[in-house]
Amino acid sequence: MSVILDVMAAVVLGSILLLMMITFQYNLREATDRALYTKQMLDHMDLAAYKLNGVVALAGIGFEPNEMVVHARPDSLVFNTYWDYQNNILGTHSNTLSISLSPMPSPYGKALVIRQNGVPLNDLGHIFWVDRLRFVYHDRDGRVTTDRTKVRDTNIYLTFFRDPPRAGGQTLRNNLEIKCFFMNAFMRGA
Amino acid sequence: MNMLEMVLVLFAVVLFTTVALNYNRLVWEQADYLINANKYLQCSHLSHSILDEVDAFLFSKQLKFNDIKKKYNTERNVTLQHAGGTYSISIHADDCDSLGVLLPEPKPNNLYALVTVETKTFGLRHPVTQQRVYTKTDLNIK
Repeated sequence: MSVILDVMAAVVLGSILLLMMITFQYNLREATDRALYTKQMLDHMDLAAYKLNGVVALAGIGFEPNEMVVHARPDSLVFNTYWDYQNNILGTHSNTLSISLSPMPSPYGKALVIRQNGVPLNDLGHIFWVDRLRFVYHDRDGRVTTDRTKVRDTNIYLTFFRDPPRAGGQTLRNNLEIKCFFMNAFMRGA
Repeated sequence: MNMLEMVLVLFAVVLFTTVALNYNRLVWEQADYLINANKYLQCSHLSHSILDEVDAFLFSKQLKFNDIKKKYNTERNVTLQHAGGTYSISIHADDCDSLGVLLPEPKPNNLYALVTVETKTFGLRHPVTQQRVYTKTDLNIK
């Protein structure tokens, strides 16, 4: 009888320990996946911010500061410039650039799309994994404005997202806030 | 239960406790690294925006070159609602040479100024420091 009890106790204890190890392994894998996803996300966020800052910095070339911005809305920005972003050279005719969120096919949801004359740019024209975008505009003295003729810099609020590594998990979200100056407007006296 | 069994059970408890503690420590460290990376990204963009601000105001003549040292030796505390957290920004401006090396003594009519921006926040392991050298030109003298 005592031997049977010993064996049963050993089986129960062994099973519990085995379950604990399996749970450890699953949790470790989940944590590793999330870390990997988040690392990729941070790289992506940095690249997207760098791109947006570069696009806004070259806005308004060849235009007076008050003619530079066409639309300054909280969800989108449209401006004029002689810079040709598609070929990365100073162009001979004016271009209209727009930055806004657009719906994309599954699984992307939405993407931040940078269009030149209505055509998305080849180089990072689509910035994926963005599901929220908001602009707040400032005048030359840093006061918040909604008047497109007075816009001299903008705060861009971005929310990036990625699906969880495992189905049913929590979506990974990261927020980033960047400030971009319309440098050409400042070069013309703002 | 004899002595040998008790010792074996003790060893098992020690082994699994060590495994569990190590596992938890590593997961917490990993979470810290991720928070640090996220904060680093936000801090680097904040620092960058301060350096861009100096450039923009110099371009528009809202800031004179000789006033950089006066206006950009300061501290700012910024609370970001969207990204979350409070960020403290230390800004220092000094005379430097064309390579950005600080001068031992201030030089009259020096042509270069080095602005250093150091940003700190909770969760960031080391402060983010960015520097930019500004050159006096006919655009920003007056």
